[in-house]
Amino acid sequence: MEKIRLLPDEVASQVAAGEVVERPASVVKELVENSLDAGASRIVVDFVRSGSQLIRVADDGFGMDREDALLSLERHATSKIRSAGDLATVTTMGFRGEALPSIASVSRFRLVTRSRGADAGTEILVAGGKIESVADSGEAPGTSIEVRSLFFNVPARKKFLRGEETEAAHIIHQMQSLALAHPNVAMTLSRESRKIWQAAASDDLGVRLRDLFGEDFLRRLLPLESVEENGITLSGYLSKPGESRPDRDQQFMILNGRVIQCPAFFQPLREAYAEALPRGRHPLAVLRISMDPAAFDCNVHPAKREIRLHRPDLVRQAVYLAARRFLERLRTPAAPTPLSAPAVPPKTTEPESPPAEPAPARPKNSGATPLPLVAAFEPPPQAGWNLEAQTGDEEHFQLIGGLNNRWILMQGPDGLVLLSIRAASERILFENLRREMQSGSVPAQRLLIPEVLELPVKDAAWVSENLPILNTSGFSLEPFGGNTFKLEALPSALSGRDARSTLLDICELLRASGSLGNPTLAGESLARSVSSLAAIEGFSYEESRARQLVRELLRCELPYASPRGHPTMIQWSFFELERKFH
Amino acid sequence: MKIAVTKEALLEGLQRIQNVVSNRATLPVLTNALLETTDTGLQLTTTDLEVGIRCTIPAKVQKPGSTTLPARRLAAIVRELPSSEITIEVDGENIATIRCGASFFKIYGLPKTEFPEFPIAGEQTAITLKQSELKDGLRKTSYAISSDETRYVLNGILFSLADNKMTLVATDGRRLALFDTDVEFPKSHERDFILPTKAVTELQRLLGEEGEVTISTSENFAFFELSGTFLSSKLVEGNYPNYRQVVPGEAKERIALERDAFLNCVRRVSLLSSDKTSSVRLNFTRDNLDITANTPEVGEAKESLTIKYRGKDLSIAFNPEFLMDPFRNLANEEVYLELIDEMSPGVLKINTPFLYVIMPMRVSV
Repeated sequence: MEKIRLLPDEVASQVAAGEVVERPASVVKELVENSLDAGASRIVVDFVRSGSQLIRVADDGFGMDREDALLSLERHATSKIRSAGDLATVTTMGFRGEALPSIASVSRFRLVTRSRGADAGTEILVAGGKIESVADSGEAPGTSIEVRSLFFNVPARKKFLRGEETEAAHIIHQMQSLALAHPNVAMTLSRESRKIWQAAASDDLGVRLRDLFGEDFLRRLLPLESVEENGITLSGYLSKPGESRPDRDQQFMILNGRVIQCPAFFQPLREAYAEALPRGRHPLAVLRISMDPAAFDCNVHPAKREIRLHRPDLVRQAVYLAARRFLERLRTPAAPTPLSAPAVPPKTTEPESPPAEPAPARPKNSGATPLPLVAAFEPPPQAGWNLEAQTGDEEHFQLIGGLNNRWILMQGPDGLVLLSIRAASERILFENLRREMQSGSVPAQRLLIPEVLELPVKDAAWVSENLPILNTSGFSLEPFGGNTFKLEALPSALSGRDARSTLLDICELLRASGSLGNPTLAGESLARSVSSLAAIEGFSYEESRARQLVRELLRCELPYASPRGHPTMIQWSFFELERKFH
Repeated sequence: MKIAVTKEALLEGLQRIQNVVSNRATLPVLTNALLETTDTGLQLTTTDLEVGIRCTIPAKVQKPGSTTLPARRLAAIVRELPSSEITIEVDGENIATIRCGASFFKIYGLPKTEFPEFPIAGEQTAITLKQSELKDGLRKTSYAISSDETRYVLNGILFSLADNKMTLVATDGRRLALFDTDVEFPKSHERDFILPTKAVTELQRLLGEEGEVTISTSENFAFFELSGTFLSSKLVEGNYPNYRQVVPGEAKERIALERDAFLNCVRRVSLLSSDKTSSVRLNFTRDNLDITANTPEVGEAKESLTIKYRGKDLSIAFNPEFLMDPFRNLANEEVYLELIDEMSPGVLKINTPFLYVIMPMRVSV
């Protein structure tokens, strides 16, 4: 048996690198976070091909003197914490003191740095963890690090790198996250010297979003006013109802300036949107969360992507409530119920208001734009698809006509609005039914001929368990022995349908929604299923009927999406139309 | 083929048959009308493969023959023609030349061979009754037909021929309308069949107040012959529910209602039970009927009617549309509502053989 020996530092560094430096994108992350910790106001990142050839990160931060620069390459050398006690309250990006030596140990590494006020800078060259030269250099203040030939001495790791484009995509995504977390730092990302994006420094997250993702992306979001719940402050942007993605790729959770992945944040978000999005779709979100650093532990994952929360329940609740209120704020301040009107605070949020000076260096689409650039980020009323101002008042919509008996065309204040008769009808039925269920008075239409139905075992079990809910929801079902039930009444919205297939359809829909066997969700799901079955597909256009539908829809709590999450209305803004015909 | 025909006769004939023609037919020839000369005139036929209509109009046949021409276009042309005398001449290519006074039209047709066969009536099972009687029966029942396509058995009217009676039944599972009338026919003609909604609608349009109608059936078709017009219809396959079990037993209360007054009250009250899921409530107290509706966040309505009522106080809710339908389609001044209790079906009757069963709604107050 081999004797136990202490690993040489080099090897120890490589082992640590395995954790910290997983792929080129992790190098970018570590280096940019160092730049941020160094108080940089401008960070320029350039990479070649997949990033394993070259990654260069240059900043205008504090820089280091020679002594510090050399020390920074020692393991667990850090300026960021001094004792274990500091770990609990750490606010800087990095603190483990692992990043630089780790990266340097698996690459050809060049560090050029000059502290502010120093006459000359320092250039250090490292290859595979061995310092090869230390020399004077005449750079501008700040730090610039070049990482070449990543993993050249760790073939095992190199083998596990994915294709060039995949690795590049990881870098881009990583940089997006960092850029979102720090909108006040100007950042540029280039690949082979071709600019991918350039983001100006701005206090406004909206400006950053537009720089990174473009105008169209921003149009799909609305600002979330800063809210505090359970000592957790949330702000940012959330997608409009109906806007979604099949994955969570465009959900960015920024906790105290660090982009993290934590189910405690995205799960409640999905729940809050449950009614506004179809199954399997996720909202877009850029959430800035600030909370007491003592309330979570980010020293869990070397790349600090994951965190451990002391009170995840509080976080869940805060996120859920914030998103829920955000969605409710968009709902109709219904005319007959003045109660909900004060729920819509007319004030605009201070943090989201545009900076006094418009962000520089973006003159590209001035001329034809009908809105001043920054105004588009303001909360409604000027923004594109402004449900807040439109709903609650059907006067905003001018009926134009019907389309194929399935849609209603309207002129809204900002453009052409298409209303889906089916989705609208579903929403109206759903809310009526839910209200009736809450007050325990769903009208049940008795059937001329009661039906005795034998159900498949699974459905029968669910029906038995949920008899009380079913029987307060307009059904009248009695157990008839075994898997057989006697059905005497249906919710009046469904009463014209075949009783047997209706009940089977309901079970099918509930199974699809995953709430079969979950009695707490059953009521809501039942209402959703019933409304989906009872909704009308369309009608040949009649103005009075269309007007009635619009009026009833706008009276709903969440008029913009069907209970299964399909949009009820979509809009083509005049701006978009203008552009299409240009 | 060459014929001369009057504008009035041709237009009337085309109007009788053209409703069946669909603009979005699966086969192009189904948008056409079949024109065939007979000894006495011109026979016009249309079909959508489910319902077919055929009629004959007087015409001078100069050269016998046949063709098919676009039905709606032909009707539109004939409607606009300036004078009465029209000649239609069709060449071997099914191109029709229409002349009328100074007007000249040429329209392209399709050969007769592409047109589906018109089903042949089974003579043996014919029964005959007055057109007005059938028309009355259809009017009193057809509104209760189910429009839910998944319940195809209910998408039509049941014709039940038994015991020298013709019974018509329509239901959508929540209410049922039943009409019967005496007709004489031998036992061998007894049979039940379901006539689909489309045929019912066409039949109602074709039936007049005068003359007789003969009904015969084959295995899958029913045939109606009325004043020289034939209507053939595929039958709905399947078993109609047993309507007899629906008619409740003895009623506790029998309330005479004045048709117009009651209908107007329900109509006004139903304005506040906006959608199709809502209900109106009938509250019977001594010699008084209150009709109420109440929709949360919309409002409420109440109408009072003086009636003769001596029974126990009773409150029962119905879908207002179902309640109004028979009242709209009955001619009688007085309609009787029979009730047992708030959970049992209500029955409407008049002094002639007619019955309407309506299921109440359960609405907790």
